[in-house]
Amino acid sequence: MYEDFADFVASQRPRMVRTTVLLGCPEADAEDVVQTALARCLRGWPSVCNAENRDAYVNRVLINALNNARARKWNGELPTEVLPDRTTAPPALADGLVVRRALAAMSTEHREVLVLRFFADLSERQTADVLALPRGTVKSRTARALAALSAHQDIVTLTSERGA
Amino acid sequence: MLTPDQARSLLHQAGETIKVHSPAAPVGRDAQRPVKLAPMEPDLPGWLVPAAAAALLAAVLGLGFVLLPGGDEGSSSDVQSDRFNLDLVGLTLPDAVETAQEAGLEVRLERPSTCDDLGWVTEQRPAAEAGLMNGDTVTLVSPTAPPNVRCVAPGPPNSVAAAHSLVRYARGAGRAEPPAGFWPCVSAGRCDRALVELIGRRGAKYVSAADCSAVPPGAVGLSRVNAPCSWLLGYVAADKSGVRVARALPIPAEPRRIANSLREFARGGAPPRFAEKVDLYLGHVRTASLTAAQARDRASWKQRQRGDEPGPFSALDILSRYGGQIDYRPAPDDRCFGDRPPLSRTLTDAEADGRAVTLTSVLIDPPLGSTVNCREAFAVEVWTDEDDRIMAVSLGFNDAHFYTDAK
Repeated sequence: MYEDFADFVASQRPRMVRTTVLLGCPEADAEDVVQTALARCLRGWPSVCNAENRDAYVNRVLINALNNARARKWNGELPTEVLPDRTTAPPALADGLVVRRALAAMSTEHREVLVLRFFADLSERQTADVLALPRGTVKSRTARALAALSAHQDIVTLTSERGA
Repeated sequence: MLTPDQARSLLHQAGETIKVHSPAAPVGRDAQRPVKLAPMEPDLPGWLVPAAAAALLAAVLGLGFVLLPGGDEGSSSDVQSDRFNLDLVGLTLPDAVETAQEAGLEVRLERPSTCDDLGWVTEQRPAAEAGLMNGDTVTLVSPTAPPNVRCVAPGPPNSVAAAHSLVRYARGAGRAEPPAGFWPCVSAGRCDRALVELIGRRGAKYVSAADCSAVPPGAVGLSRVNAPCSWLLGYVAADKSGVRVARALPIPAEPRRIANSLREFARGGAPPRFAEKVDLYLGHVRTASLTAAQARDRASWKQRQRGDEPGPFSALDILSRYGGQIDYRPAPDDRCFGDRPPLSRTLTDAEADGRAVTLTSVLIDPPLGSTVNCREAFAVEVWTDEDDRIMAVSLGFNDAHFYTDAK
């Protein structure tokens, strides 16, 4: 059983850490949140294995762990650090940081659907399961979140630069 | 509008900017640090024994980590069996749970419901003096506000509650209210605003007033590590009218000696003890990371924040050139630096690298009056790790052009 879990950790942990950060968790805390989520998955491994959709199940555990950490770690919150300067970062890295800045400026609801749909690559139905929302709500919320992201000034600049 | 494919591409690009520490290739001190599980909620059924969970995770991941403090012995079979004292009272609950777990203890929580929710551990069983061993269970008592009950009459303010409220305010970056009476106390000159900056950093521990002679009767001391009286940062006292006094205390002798060793190095003396990696900051921005060998080379210390900004600057050059009086302080003199001292509030980069987070910082700061005006004001902050080695140095000043022109 644990060999499966080891495989699961090896393949999913980096993506889980990145998902956690994109959802708004400070990088310094993300690995702790993921470790909490993994410990819960380990304890409930049969449930994870038997879940109709393992990805949705695991992401649900992850988001619960993140929300609990947010509620608990009031003193773990620090002012948003200044992101590395764009001019010193390689172009691809700088673009990625621009996207992170835009995500950070969005509402939690919008950020969640965008990250789950387009980074965790969950389907609408899986995303609905994770967020405990009707599928139609996920669909409409995703559309609004995409519109909001598209309208963010940094993204407008970024996409126009790419188009140029 | 972005298409789903474009959004997917952008988000994956964003994901690539996030560094995930590979357990198989730990960074720096991580190689010797225990695998740790984040604290769990008390209402979860069936506590997962932390050490066992860590062992399991380590085993399945093939990490090669060791599981206990002092793990550089190389294997868990080498675990020392001696009893040790671990004082967890006064730590915030997440910090206490994490500290206990890192020491190999199983943790049980008691959360009595009370309107006097202090936010930290008020009792541990067995007590620290009783001695603990790896695998022991320690019970942490931390009062919590009752759900669905409004505590409309929380009782008269007391020093402990005021100290906690001040810490919350300091760390909450404006999202929490300061305790009642704090600002009038600042206006009256009985409260140091610098204390807010100081305790807003990570690692502070709160100790009761009676333990340290430097803390006046009725006040609560604020200390950073487990040697509360020798590393006392300040104290807070309150009565029914609110905060009566809140003072930062002078820097104790040992951190003062370490900071002075950097100043002596700047003036041509022997290099101080440096950590394997020494981060250099200009203001709030990390501009360089030196190896210990590089740090011993004064020429490596010149740094520039951005290509189009003045510089480069070297904390060593400025310390070396400045011949006036020096103060060692816990926080910059806000008469020159205002509300936002030009220094990094925490070493986020070091924490992200998994390096020691039990930090002590000391500021080398010319006192007001020893410089002609605030244009000349500078501050050099020295951060040390848990082995008292210098791991970061931050340089801040009001007017970079003053030092550019002076060169």
